[in-house]
This record gives sequence, C-alpha cells and structure tokens, in this order.
Amino acid sequence: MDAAAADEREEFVAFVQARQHRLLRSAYLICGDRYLAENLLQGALVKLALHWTRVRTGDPEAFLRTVIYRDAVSWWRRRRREQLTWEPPARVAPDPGEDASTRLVFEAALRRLTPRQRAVLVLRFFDDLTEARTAAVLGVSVGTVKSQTSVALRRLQGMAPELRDLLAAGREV
Amino acid sequence: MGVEQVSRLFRESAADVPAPRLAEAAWAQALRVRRRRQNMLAGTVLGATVVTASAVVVAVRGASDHTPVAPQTSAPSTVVGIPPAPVDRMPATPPVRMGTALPRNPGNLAAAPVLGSGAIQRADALYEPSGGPQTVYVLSGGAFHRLSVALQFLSDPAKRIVSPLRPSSLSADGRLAAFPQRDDVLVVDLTTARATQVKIPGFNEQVLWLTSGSLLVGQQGAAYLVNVDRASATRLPGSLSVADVVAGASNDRTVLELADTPGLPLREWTLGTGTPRVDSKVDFRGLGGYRVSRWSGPAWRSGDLVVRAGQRNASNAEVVVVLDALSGRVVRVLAAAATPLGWLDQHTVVLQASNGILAWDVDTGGLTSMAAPFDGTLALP
Repeated sequence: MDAAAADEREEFVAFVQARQHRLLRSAYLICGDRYLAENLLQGALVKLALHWTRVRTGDPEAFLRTVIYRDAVSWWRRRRREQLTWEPPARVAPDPGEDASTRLVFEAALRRLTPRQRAVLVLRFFDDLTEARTAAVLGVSVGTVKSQTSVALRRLQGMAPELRDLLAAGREV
Repeated sequence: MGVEQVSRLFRESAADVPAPRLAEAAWAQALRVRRRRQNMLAGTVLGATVVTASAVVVAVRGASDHTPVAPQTSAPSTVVGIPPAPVDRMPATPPVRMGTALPRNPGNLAAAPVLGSGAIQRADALYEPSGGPQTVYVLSGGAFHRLSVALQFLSDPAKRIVSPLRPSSLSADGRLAAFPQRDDVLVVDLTTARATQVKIPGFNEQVLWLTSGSLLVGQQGAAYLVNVDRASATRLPGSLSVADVVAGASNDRTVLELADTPGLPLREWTLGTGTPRVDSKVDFRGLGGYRVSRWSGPAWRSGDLVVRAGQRNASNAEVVVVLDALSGRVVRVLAAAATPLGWLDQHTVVLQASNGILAWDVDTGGLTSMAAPFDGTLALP
C-alpha cells in the first residue's frame, strides 16, 4: 500500500470511528432491527469506502445517511412484495404482560410508519438535522419534510393515543 | 418541550444499541469489492469473446507464505445484464498453504491423551475418524486429545452409523462442543472437560452455534433454542430447518436459512415467530443456465457472502456455491465435491475434500492445501 492510500484509509477509519455509533443508532431507529441496522450501516460504509476519494471533500456523513435510508427503503419494499398477506394492526396495543411504558408504545407505533416518515422523524428529532439538511439527505423538498413530519406525528397519535399530548407538543416545532 | 420529549424517546429507544466496530472491516470489504469487480470485468470480456475457455494463471503473492495457483477456470455463457459467476475447478495437486492450525495429517491418534481439565484453552478443531473406534478427538496447539465423554453413535434410517460430531459442533471461541443425541444434547466445556446434558426429547440431529452463544438444535420437523448457561431448551414455532440455517450469520433474534425445499428459498426468520420475515429466492442466473437442485451440508456466512455445497441440476454434479446474501446472487462456484467447514478469513473458505483440507480464496479462485485428507468428520470453530 502506498503512502497516499494509507493516508486515505487512516482518514476513512478515523471518520467512521467518530460517527459509527450514532449512525448505527439512527439506522436502528429507522429500520427497527439491530441486525438489519448493522447490515445497512456496513453496506453504506463499504459504499462510502469505494467512493471515499471523491466524497471525502464533500459531505460524507450525508452520503452515509442517504445510502442507509435508500437501502432501508429497498429492503422494506422487498419485504412488502414478499409478505403480501401481512396487515398492520390499525392501532398499536402493547402486550398485556409487558411493561406498557411510553417508550414501548412509542417504539411500536414508530414501526407502523413508512420508512420515509420514520426517517424524517429520526433525522429531525434524533439527529437534530435542520429541515433543509433532512430534505437533502432524503432527496425531497423542504416542503415535503414539513408535511411528512406533520403526517408522521399525526399517524403516531392515531395509533397511540397515549402519546397524544406529547406528540401534539412535538408538532408545534 | 415537545421536541425535547420526542428526542428523549428516540434516545431511550436507541440507548441499548451497542457501539459497532465497522471501520476497518468496511475498508477491507471495499478493497475486495474492487478486486471482485475487476475480476468480473475480466470474466465478462472473456465470456463475450470466447464461449468456453480455460486458462491457468499463476497468482504471485509477493511476500506471502504460500503461492496459490488459480485453478482452471471456465467462463460460463454470459446472461444479459447478469455478470457470470466464475466457475473454478479443482487442481490435481493444490500448493501447500503454510501456517495453519491443522497438522498436515492426524498422526497416531491412539497415543492421544484423554482431555482433562485445564489441558487446553480453546480447540482448533474436533475430529472423529471414520471407521475407527467411534471417538472424538480435540485438536489444540497442534496436539490431539481424546474426549472421554460417553457419546451415542446412533444409526440413521438406512442403518448407517451417524457420528454425533457435526461440522457445526464447535463454538466460535473454540471452548464449547455440542453433540446431538437421542433425547438430549451434550454440551462439553473443552477447557474443563465437563459435559452438560440438555434434555430435548426426540432424535436430535443437528446443532448450530449462534453468534450470541446460544445453540440451535434440530430434529426432523422441529427446532429448539438452547440456553447453554441454564441448560434449558425452548421449542421454536414454525418450520425452521436447523440443518439449513446459515452459521455465522445468526443471533438470538434473527437467523438466515438457505432452505433445501422446492425453489431453494433464502429466508430470514425472527426466532420465536412462526413464519419467515423475508422469503426470497437464490438468483442462479449467474450460473449460465444452470442452477442448484438441492443443497447439502452446512452453510456459512462471512460478511455478505454465504457458502454451501449443493448438486447442480441436469448432471447432479456436486458444486460449492458462494452467494451474495443480500441479493441472493451466485458470485462464485467451485465445480467439485467438497464440504465447506467455515471461513478462514473474510474471503477464504475452508473445504474438506477427498484430496485434503483446502483453502479456497473466493476473490481469486485460488485453492491451497491446508492439510492432508482427514477421513471422517471435522469441525472447526
């Protein structure tokens, strides 16, 4: 390996090490499955490594978020095609034997959103991205981000009335 | 307040996600992807101009401790839009690979001492010679020990003696060995030579360690998840076949199954649910008009790649196939009868074949000999 290649590798590794934990958490919140989240992140990191020379001077973190989101959507579409009989329940109800905490209700309701709606909420409220950056990552307009945020929060309320007060406050942002 | 509370719920939901260590692996995988693309590009050019060709290429590996010879490779007919999977063939005498944990041959096993407590820290392999005294040997640091645990050697429906040693019997850390028995499974801590009996009524046939350290046990039409620390087993709902579960890719929540049922589906299960979460098909188009008619032996995953032996349709010829687990696409084939024993590293499969224990580099197709033939069942971590 020549010196330039070694420098690139070192730079890539340092970049990833500083962000991988947060990105994995973000991927998990979008897809709802740790195993899949790690696969999504791993796949995105390989793609980033393949394009590192070109992307490193731009916004590699946005590149990763975009790949994770698009791959999550591809996975979801594939699963939807293969599980045509699967119907989500109209309302989320925690198992009676489980601790029906707010977090569990929130997670269950989150899983019923579309990947784009989940991604909008995660990017806005977990990753603290602006509407403009969220729009850039998802490849949509700022108006779409605003409307999807509103729709997602409203759907969460519909599926989990326990969160109504909390989410109503969230919609005001 | 609203933003803070939504953010807090997200933070709490993601709090248990452990920190990954993916940076080095991603860079290394990208390098392999580049190499594979270059190989495929070369194969596509060859396939477009020559219907069947063979070439012998000497792959020089600089300061490497071995010099693998790429096998004769025939380029299959090109399917439009699908890169053809390279088909490797077994060289008559693969070059020797140095520096492996396996001895060149088992040697005099009759002189092997009984495995006692503290004799080893981890096992490099388990071996049960065929036609011998029905004994399992533990290889560690180049030396064999004899396992003194009483094991049942049962007969299958064809009255053939079946070894309780499976290629997937040894845990990834080399410390635990699992043996399926009638009405129970024996788990042996190889560092203390102590056995734990886990009651599972019925004829237990398969064992497979999950990456979490739990154990899957399979019977005809039934699968069990064993908590080794508690010596307890839970029957799993659904039709999961443990014999078809991909080792190295499965944890306590999600398992990948390369099913040996009509259509050869590639399924992903969430354990505890009765139906697969993802049910897709293997894409055999890269095989140039051929496909695999049935799988055999264990399947192993490394990164995005899964390797398993099978029979090719039309001729029933035995092949070893490497798949991309995400796309289901066949990416490399070895046209030979061999049993994959696992991955030596991220791009090298260990194979048990009639001409020895071999290392197959799935990036280059190179085959090297790790050891002489081990006649019997061999399990690696």
